[in-house]
Amino acid sequence: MPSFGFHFHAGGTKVKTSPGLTTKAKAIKPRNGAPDPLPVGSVWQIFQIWLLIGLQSFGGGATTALLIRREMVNKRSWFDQQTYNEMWALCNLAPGINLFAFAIIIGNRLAGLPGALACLLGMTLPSAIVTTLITAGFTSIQNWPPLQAMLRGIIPAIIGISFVFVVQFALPILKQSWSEGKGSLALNLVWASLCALLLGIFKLSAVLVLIGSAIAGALIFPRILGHLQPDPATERTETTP
Amino acid sequence: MNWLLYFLVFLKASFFSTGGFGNLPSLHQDLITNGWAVEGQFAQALAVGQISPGPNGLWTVSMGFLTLGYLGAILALVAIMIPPFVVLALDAAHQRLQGRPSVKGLMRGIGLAVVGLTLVVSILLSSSPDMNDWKAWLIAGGAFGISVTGRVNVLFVLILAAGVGYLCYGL
Repeated sequence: MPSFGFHFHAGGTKVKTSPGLTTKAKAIKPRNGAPDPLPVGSVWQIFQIWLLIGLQSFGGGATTALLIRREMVNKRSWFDQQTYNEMWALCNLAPGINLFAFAIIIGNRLAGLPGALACLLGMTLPSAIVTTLITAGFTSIQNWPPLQAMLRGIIPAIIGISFVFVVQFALPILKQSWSEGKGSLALNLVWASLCALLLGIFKLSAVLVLIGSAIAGALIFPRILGHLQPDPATERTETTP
Repeated sequence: MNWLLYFLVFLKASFFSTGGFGNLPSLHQDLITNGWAVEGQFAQALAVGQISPGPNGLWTVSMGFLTLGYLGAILALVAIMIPPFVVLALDAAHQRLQGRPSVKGLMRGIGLAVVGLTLVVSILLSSSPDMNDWKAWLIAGGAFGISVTGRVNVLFVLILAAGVGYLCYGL
């Protein structure tokens, strides 16, 4: 199952955070969020571990995130569960692929910028090469009739799945806004539809719609949802894959 | 084709998006407008992204290969690897801004925009020439129904769809 920003995985680990931990930033963790001293061999060792993660990560982002949790939390205890969840929450706010951000934040906490590069490249290079080769294979046998027939099945399936993405993006927000009241649910539905109209009918640039919606969100939502104050870190522990 | 411009299109799309598919609306718009890609290539790249290992966001690398060969794949890969580094700044800022209402509002705004934009792209993809008969729509509906439960591996759904495609169109 693919993993997205804003996507709350069903059955994700729910960690109860005591209120004291969330109000005081200091109480959360030491800077690197790992037991002292950090039992990390070297950047090279980190790279090798992440290379293995990358090579095993068939089946999309959820598989990869699971592998990372096993290696970093269960097997090596480099991070505890709460730190893992916290880091994942931050990755949902970062631009681009959440898993890339995850590799970067973990690597950086383990061994600074070289560590971040080691994790990111280790995880990404094998998969990127395989992706390119599959695409190349695709291109060269594209005109083979049986493949074309299979593609005529696969492409509609992909289109069906792309609507699943919409649902997966929408559900957590709609659930959240439902819990805020019917007015909020209506506002959120109208808001998303307006964004769709601006892109689809008025052909506004996607980036413009995103930035506009972000700014409007920062201005408007705090006013109407002021009474809702769960801490984002607590709220987002459920996004952990 | 201007390589730098091509790279910047990919970089921009990734910078102003979140998640592996967040860059789809922006890339879709820019690559089609510039005549660098056709509709069918998006469906193909998304398919490869689902089949291949690693984050599904690597569909972008496949898109790079389809539009500009190995160079395109490399440019696309570099472009999607840069923006996530912003997380390091977020990590630092997190300690101070944690829980601010405006930050939450901002994230809500982005989230809602992503919902609207993904919906538009899905509708645009549905107008692809491959969706020209009822069997294709049945496959799309079936794939949606199976996948939306979240219980079935996507790879399995695609293999099933390939089998159905072969039976419907290949015999």
